[in-house]
Amino acid sequence: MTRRSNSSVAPEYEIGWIGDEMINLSKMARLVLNLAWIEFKAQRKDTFLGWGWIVLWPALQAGGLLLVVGTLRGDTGVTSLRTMIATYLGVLVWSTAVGVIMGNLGILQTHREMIVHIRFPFIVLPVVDVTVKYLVFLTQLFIGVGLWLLLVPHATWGLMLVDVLVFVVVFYLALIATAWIVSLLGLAAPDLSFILPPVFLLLLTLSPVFHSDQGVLSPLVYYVNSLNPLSFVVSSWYAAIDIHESGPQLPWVLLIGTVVVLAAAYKLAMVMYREVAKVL
Amino acid sequence: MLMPGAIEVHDLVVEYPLYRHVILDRFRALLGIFFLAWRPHVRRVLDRISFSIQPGETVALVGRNGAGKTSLLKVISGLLSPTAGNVCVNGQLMALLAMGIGFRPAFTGRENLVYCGLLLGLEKQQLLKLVPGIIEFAELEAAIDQPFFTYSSGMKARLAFALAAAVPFDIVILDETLAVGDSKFVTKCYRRLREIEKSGKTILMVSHQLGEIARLASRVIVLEGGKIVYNGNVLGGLRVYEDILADAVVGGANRSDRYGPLLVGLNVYNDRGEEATHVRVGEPVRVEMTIRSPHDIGDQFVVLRLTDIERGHLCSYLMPSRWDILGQQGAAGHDNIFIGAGETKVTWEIPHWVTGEGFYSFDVYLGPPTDIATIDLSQGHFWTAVSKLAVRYDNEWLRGGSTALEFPISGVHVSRDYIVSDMAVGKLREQEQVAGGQSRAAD
Repeated sequence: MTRRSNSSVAPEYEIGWIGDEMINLSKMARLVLNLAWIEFKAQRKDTFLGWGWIVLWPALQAGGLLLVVGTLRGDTGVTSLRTMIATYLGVLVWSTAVGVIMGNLGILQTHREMIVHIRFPFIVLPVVDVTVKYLVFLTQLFIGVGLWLLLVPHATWGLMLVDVLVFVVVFYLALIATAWIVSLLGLAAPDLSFILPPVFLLLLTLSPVFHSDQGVLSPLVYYVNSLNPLSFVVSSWYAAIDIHESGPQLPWVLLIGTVVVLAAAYKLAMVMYREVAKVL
Repeated sequence: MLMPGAIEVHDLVVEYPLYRHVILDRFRALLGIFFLAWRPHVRRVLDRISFSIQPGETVALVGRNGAGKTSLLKVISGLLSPTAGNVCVNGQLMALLAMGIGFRPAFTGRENLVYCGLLLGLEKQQLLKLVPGIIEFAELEAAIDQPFFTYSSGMKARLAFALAAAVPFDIVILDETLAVGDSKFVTKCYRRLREIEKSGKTILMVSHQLGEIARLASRVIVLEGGKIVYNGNVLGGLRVYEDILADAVVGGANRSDRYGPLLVGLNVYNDRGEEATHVRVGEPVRVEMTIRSPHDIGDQFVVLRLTDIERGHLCSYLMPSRWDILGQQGAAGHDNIFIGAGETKVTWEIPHWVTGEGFYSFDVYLGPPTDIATIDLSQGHFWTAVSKLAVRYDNEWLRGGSTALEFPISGVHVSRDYIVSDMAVGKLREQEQVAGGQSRAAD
């Protein structure tokens, strides 16, 4: 391998394997999967319930939020099973996306010592983080969608599964792109890690997860919601699993759009990450 | 096209942003990548550095803290992008810039091996084959499945070095990494490095342990203030570095003027009178130090220091009249000798070499006369690794090093071949009178 840096203004230089992008993509994919699998296995070591938390945590989150939001809305009566599973599935998507955003805001700072001392393609760090969270998400999703199919009758479940599959791919790619962008944002504006958690909580309570009928909301809230990309993701997800009849039924368009965004985020990360070691 | 294992650096410049307000300036630095006109204030740490390293060379980078050594290693390793210039590296590179970084406390030693091995570029299957050998080298068979947070710092260092040494590479980069661990581990690392050296791999190392450099390096590059001030043989490089250090302490051009022109040499002779680079334990040895000076520099406190290179142990200080600074007072006169214009030789007769097997280096110190009770070595000059000596046992069963602070000396001689000056004549007469008085007192 020969590495070269030539320019006096903006030198072309490779960090680790980043430079040989396309050739090394498969190698990087293997690396990501191996690292993520080790992390995934090790992550549940420190608790008594271990793997149990994978299912329990979003169920508790969905149940708690359902109770709080229902009380605030003045709901009376028993919440239907359909609503509970739908909320669980919505919270899954939302909390995975928020987890990725929050987890990657400080990822470069957290791994500072590794980045400045070990020669490795640290562009994979956000991807590993996303993949670990995604492995958890897929496990939760498998259970949630299974329950959904089992308890709520579906005439077109085959088509629904195809949509779910497309959504799963799109969501993963979108999360990787988000993680790269957010990791750089977090480095430039670390205050975001304090600002975003309450904002996300507020947005969640206003999101389609708890408001299937968006028309009921005030125009201002509706406008905010329609601008919120996470609400868009949840709406797409609900449309894919036929929870909402209306919604952006655009999984294939979304897939192409996401690939384009991912490529742009990858390029951005490649350029920016080269300078990261200097500012860390 | 570079040969495999070669490194070429041309006009390399590295600048770091200077922080007044960390967050704001970091934000500006990141933005500056796109908007070049909006750049934060910078500090130049490497200033148009150029050099090349051929395959199989062992090159030591030395310099004071902040000279730019680590930044240079990081740029060559690909960890840091240069502000300007070219860096060409041909071959698989293994950079060990810190021990134990990347290991996760909650993971076991084995999990950490796999995790870090993957980060270092090994394939999983390849890594799984290497793991037993790594564990054996690190001598961590009993602890490898325990959580990493239970490991001592020595165990962590052993695991980190064992892993790094197992990664296939053409070029290895070390940044003061052998400064950790116990002496047994350090010895083991040196053996491994010697194997690497013999196998024709390129080694680029940063170290402040001059004995280590003298033992391993074939060339020294001295960095000062982000620039190369010396690039050449080991002895010359260490002298330049010692000068830089001494100037930083004493700060005087006077000191350099005084000791700069001096030439100090050291030869070791065996019992047959032949010059020796290898001696056997127990063998009679004669150590001869030669000081050549173009002018009289007066009385000097002269010390010869013997260091075990591999273990970094001090073995002994030899002085013209005090045989061992930490041991017995010698029989002869005072501690200083007169260095006049011309050649001065000090010879130590050692009836039996008493250190253990290993590699040793001789360093020389010359400085103004000092009180023996509170020796001040800051005003003089060090010549590091003036000579090296390999010591071995004939008996395989007696292998291993030992330290000998009290060196047996059967005699010390000072001989002079001076360009006669009034000062020299006066001093010589003075010293002869002192020596004569002591001799009579001894009788």
